Amino acid sequence: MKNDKVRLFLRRNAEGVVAYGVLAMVLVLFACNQADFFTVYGPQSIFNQVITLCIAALGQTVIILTSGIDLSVGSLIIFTNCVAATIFMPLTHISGGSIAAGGILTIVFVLLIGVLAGLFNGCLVVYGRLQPIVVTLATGSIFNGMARYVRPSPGGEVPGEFARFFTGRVFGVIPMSAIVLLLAITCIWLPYRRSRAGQSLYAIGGNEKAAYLNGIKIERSKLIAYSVAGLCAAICGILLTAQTRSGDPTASNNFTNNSIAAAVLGGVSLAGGKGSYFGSIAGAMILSLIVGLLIFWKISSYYQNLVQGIILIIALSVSFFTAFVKRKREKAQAQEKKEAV
Amino acid sequence: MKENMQTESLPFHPSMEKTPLIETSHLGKRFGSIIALEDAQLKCYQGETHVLIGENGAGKSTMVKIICGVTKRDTGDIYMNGEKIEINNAQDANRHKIAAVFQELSLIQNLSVAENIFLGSEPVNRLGRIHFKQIYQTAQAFLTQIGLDLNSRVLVRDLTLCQQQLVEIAKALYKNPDVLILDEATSALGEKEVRWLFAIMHKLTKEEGKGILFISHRMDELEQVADRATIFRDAHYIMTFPWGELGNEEIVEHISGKKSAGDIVTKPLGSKTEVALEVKRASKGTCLHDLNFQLRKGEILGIAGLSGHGQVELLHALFGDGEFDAGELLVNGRNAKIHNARQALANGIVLIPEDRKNDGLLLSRSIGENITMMCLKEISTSGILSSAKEKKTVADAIKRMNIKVFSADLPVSSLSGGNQQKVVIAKALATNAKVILLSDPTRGIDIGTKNEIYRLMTELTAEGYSIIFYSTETAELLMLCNRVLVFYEGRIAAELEGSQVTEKNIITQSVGAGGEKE
Repeated sequence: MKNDKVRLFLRRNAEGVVAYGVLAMVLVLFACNQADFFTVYGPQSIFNQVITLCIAALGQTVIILTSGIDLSVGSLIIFTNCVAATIFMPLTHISGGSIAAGGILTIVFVLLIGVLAGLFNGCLVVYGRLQPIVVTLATGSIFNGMARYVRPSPGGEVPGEFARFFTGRVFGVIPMSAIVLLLAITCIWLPYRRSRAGQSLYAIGGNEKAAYLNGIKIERSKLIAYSVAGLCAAICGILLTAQTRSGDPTASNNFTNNSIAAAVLGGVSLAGGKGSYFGSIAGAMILSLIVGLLIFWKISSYYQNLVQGIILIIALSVSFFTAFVKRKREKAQAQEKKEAV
Repeated sequence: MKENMQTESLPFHPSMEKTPLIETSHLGKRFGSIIALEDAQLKCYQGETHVLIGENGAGKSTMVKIICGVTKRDTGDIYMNGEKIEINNAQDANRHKIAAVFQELSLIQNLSVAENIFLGSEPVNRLGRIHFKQIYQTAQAFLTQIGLDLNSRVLVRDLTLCQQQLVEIAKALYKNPDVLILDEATSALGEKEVRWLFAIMHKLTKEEGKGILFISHRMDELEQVADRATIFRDAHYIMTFPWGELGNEEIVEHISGKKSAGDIVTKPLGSKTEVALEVKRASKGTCLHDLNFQLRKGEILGIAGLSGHGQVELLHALFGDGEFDAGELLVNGRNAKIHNARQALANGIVLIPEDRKNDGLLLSRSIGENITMMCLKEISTSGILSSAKEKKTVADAIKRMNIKVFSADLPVSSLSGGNQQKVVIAKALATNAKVILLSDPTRGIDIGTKNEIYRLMTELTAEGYSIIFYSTETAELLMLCNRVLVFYEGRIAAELEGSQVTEKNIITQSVGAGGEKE
């Protein structure tokens, strides 16, 4: 029975296993190239590199599970980043110059914006009966425009304490980014996955009509999913603000493409209803750390996209080849069995 | 069997004096300009299995879909135990303890059996967290209790079609419904599973006083379970009668609204000397073992056996979909290599798959496009589609197949099941193939269309076509085939010919009780 459970677990998560294999290889390469890999700075720098994409991938995963796609996530991250960088100091002044109070107010305000933006996406999908790809393509442009309205030029002021808090270490050893990721898993993904709303994600993505016939509240489930995605984009925006200490509406970023790629790498099916955030985390880490490897190897960052694309294709081929090899083996076994008879 | 059901000692038997468990009156439903149901009624009492009969598109499915909240009615009322109730969606039906099982599966492939059974009604704690452990344990206990040997943790996508249908039934039973609707729920089941279901239905109605609305195109099934029957025709209610009061002839008459032509079919014997297709020592993985048989030119070779014993795999392998691992294939006496559907077509073999909605048709594309899908080369002039040739091919096919259609430009999904199947057959006939593999072509199709398909099959053999015909209905094989191969565990358990082709022989061989006979 125990063995049976392990087998069923692997059967359910086969795609994610491949992603963690690739991640392990990338980490080994890091260990070989990064001098301070085994000091407290090693994990800190690694988690700081991966955290933004890991959070962006959470929102993307939730949307993809409903068999939708979120093309607005990159713009929403930029928008929330610009808002945070712009309102931080004013809010600090209002709260009597306390950076902690200003920071908390900023975070709350930005998260609220994120949830509302996500809900807006959700409403257009659910009540407007539009396809997610069209809705988020359009709202992505809108969020981008709003970012430029809030911050016509790059800049803004973010205190160093705020930046150090999110990129530093707790108790001198644990990277704050790792804690943020842990919180994202334990406070967002797991409770969500194990709720009825989370179960509905899989039902809707698997077969929306069947989900309806089972009495699932499809509209509500989708609104929740898009709100969660908006929330994740806002968290990502805050982290970006802490890392860059400014807001830049003109910054080109790959969050939209990379979050989709991370989910796919992690075994989340674009058809919907299949996969888990744990796979996407591995995917996001691989894609972020590749950039670090390129720096070690003194390869121009211009080739970052090229390398990421190749990694994506190789990783996806691995799952194809394992299936192919398995089929070959089964065939051979059948042949052997026949000859034995 | 009937006498036994009406014994007074059983606590429940249908009685007209009581209030009906579920009753509908003056139900009406339109889809655009098409009337699906008009002024229709139905009464089902406690302890009754009520069968709904009629051709496809007669309105029986619409009736049950309204009752279980899948389709919203335009007019009319629904009463439960004499009280008027409102059913506008699936949740409403759930609340009134009405559960349904449909031919089209409503399972989520990537969730486990248990998760599917509990979908939409998962037990949660105060924080909204689902009790997964409880779900698995309860589901496993329930499956064991109703006598199903299934692991509740297995993903639905890893189950066979037949097992999936069983899960679907288990899911409906778990809701402990007062009214259970089974709409073509038996079409994917083998004979053993059907017997299991009928035993459960008997217990539900006669011991627990539930009501069952049952739809099936298999007459033998209706005979086994029906207490009363309601006939629908052309979206209208025709009549309700206690089962046994009308003979089969009369029932068919009411269903079709005209005198039935009767079985005019004579078995095509095929050529004595010419062989269209020969399979030698063919095997495939764990599902087919050492198959040897010939298909004579102009015959209908029957394939029998319980579902899931390799019949479907054989037909697909012959068409290049999941090829054989070993063995030889001879087409018209010449060795043929078939690795994909294209090569099969080049060798003159065409498959009419059992799953017409997924494998046979592009549902959202037009009837014309579907018909010409396999013969695009023939209707093209130097690589460009010729609309004149296309129109002619489509018009010929529609006429030949007698497809009831307003325009060939409408999507296939607008047709009824029987007419959709005719489109699939038309598509196959538009190719140059002369060997036709029919995989359960009459599944879920009305009697009228079934008869048309039988007639067409015999006509085709006279024109030089050869047919391999797999059917889950033994009666069809008895009627059409002079030779029948019975499958058991991926092997040909017996090759029956002429007077050997009897129901008794087929059934004995298909449960592996035929001994060492070859």
